[in-house]
Amino acid sequence: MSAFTSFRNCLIELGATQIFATSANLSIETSLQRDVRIESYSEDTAGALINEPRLVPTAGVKGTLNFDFVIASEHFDVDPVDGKNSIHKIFQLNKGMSPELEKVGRIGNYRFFNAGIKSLSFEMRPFSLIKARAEYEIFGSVVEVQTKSLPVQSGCYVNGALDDSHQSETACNAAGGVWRYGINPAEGLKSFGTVTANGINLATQENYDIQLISANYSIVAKRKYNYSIRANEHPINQFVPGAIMPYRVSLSEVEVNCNISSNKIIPNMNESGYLQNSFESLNLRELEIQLSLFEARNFSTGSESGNLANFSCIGNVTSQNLEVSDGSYLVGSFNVMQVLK
Amino acid sequence: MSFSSYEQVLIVQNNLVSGVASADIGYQTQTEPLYVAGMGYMDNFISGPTEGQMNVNRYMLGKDFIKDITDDETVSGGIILDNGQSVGFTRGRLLNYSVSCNVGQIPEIRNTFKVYGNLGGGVSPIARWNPNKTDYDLGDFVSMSVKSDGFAQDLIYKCVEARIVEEPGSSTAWELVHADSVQAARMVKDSLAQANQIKDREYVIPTQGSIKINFKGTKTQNATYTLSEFPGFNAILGFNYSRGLDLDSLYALRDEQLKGTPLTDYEAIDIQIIYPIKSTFDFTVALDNYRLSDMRAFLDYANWDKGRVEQDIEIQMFDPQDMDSDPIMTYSVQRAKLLSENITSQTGEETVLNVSFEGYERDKLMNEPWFLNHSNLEPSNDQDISEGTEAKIERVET
Repeated sequence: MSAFTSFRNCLIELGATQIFATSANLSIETSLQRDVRIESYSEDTAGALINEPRLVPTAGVKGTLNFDFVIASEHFDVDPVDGKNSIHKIFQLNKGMSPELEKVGRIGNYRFFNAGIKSLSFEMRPFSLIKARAEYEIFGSVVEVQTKSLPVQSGCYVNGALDDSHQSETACNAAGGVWRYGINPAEGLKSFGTVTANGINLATQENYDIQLISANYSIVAKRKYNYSIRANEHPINQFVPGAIMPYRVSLSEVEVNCNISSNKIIPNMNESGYLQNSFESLNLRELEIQLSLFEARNFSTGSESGNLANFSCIGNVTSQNLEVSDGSYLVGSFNVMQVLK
Repeated sequence: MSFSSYEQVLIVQNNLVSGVASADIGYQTQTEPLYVAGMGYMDNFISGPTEGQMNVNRYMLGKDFIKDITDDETVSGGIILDNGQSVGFTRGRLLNYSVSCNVGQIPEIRNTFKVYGNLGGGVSPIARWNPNKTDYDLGDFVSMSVKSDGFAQDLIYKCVEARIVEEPGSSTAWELVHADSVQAARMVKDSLAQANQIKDREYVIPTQGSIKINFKGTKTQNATYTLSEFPGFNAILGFNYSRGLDLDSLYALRDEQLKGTPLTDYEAIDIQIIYPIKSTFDFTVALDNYRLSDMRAFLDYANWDKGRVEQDIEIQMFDPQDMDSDPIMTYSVQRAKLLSENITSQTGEETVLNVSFEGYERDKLMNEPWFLNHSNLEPSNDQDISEGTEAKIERVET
């Protein structure tokens, strides 16, 4: 058996939920600083005597965890009846979200503790799986544990629903179902986006005709962590590594940014980030970008694959730019920001 | 059952193509594997556009209608086998046009078409019905896209009432050739083969004696010092001509969902020509009265328009039976740049000069740089090239 853990066997989990990561990075750091103090007076030199310099901690062990992953129905789903998003709490970032930290997680044969989601972002473009990225703040140290692996998920889908009564591909096909290997990620080719202003779709608006080339969506939360001196003076700190923990965590800011790359930018933009007066009878006070993410493969009987998530950003333009180079088109991009908290 | 190479026909823009020696048509898909941590390989997923290509090698048997296909013209076509099975394509572009000619050979033409639309066994080689075209004649064929289970099952209609703009399938002006697409293709193939253009064709095969090559110098210099300086000398033993487009396709996030059309209708939103368009000429010349340029003269731009480094070149192919009429084919390039000159001399053989030129064409809708035509900067033509509401005054090459 190899002394190294291969990517194939490197399970990534948050809580008890497996992450469909294509890459991951965990970094932990201390907050050591030089401790230099005046300790006494030297009669020989008539000057100060300083201590032997050393490093001392100024806070607990902290780190960041980020991973690129594919969006799939195991974590994201849209209710076909009411159209509401259902996002697994490990990826949830919204105004009413809980600031509570996820207690435990795993990368391969290492466990980490106390992870709080900081940002979730993804990029949508044709001919590419939608690559999402999540970033977490980690508190406390990591410990080494046994390696764990999971089998590739597979099963029989009949009319789009998992049917456990058919346990082989042959039986599944005989029942008119589709045997599915692994996960069914969100794909840029199946997904689409709309940009609307005052309820008017700018793609179908005659004088505007916006065509989206790609979309980058990100939602970022800032947390405030409070440390209690008394709590962290507990004797357990002498025996448990990284036991110094924040006493209280609160959410301070949550904001959404959506950057659209297209054939257009917003003309006549004023200092408030919207179109001044009107452009061809179009009055852009507030832009609404709606991104609808769909599964790559269709396991249901309908013409569309499953709707995994809908993300929106309703706000004003914070920046935009035009870019052209030899052999390409003039491409505009604009960033719309929405402040949730 | 297989098919020999004598039973199929090649169709481009609803015309049978003559003199075809070989044709290949196909497409490439692009996928990449997905690997997930802790599970490994999942599956392959689409990673790039699916675009097709058709290559045709043929002999020049007269005036070539494919040469008249413009750079931005959309092309449809395909191959119909003897029993009616076919492979067609839509929304193609003529990517490359090459001609080669050597002493003792019939001139050969090679074409490459790039396909941005659909390509397959159910796609008709007959051009789609164009709702903006109002001059359909009796006997014209059009195809209509029909899909079943995601695969094309195109139908072919024949015009039975001319100058009608109504859509085939909902009008008595169009007659369904056959409900079965294979039978329909076979009938269309037979019908096109009987058309006057093919049946009455008198093949005109250019010979070495009916091909004229003119090195014209430049606008500031006549043919002095060029290969055409002394008529009757410097016999051209062979030439290769190639003109190729560099096309860039742009794909946007799909809006088929908004249109209510299926994902299989997803195509490039725009295809642009990356200018300039490059043409190359290679000549093999029996050297007897020509002085090579100085290699170092190339370093001084002042020498470029003195008729050697930069010159206009034209190849005219005439009917061998009628050298006084207009040429049947002309290939030319303006301000071609000399790429190389090379002399090969060996015992028992003629001394041969190989000379190559490269020419570049600008977008004809754009202005010539003022320093090329030395004319005043006065607008000579009011033309809106913006395709928008705001008219722009631009001088356009006419």
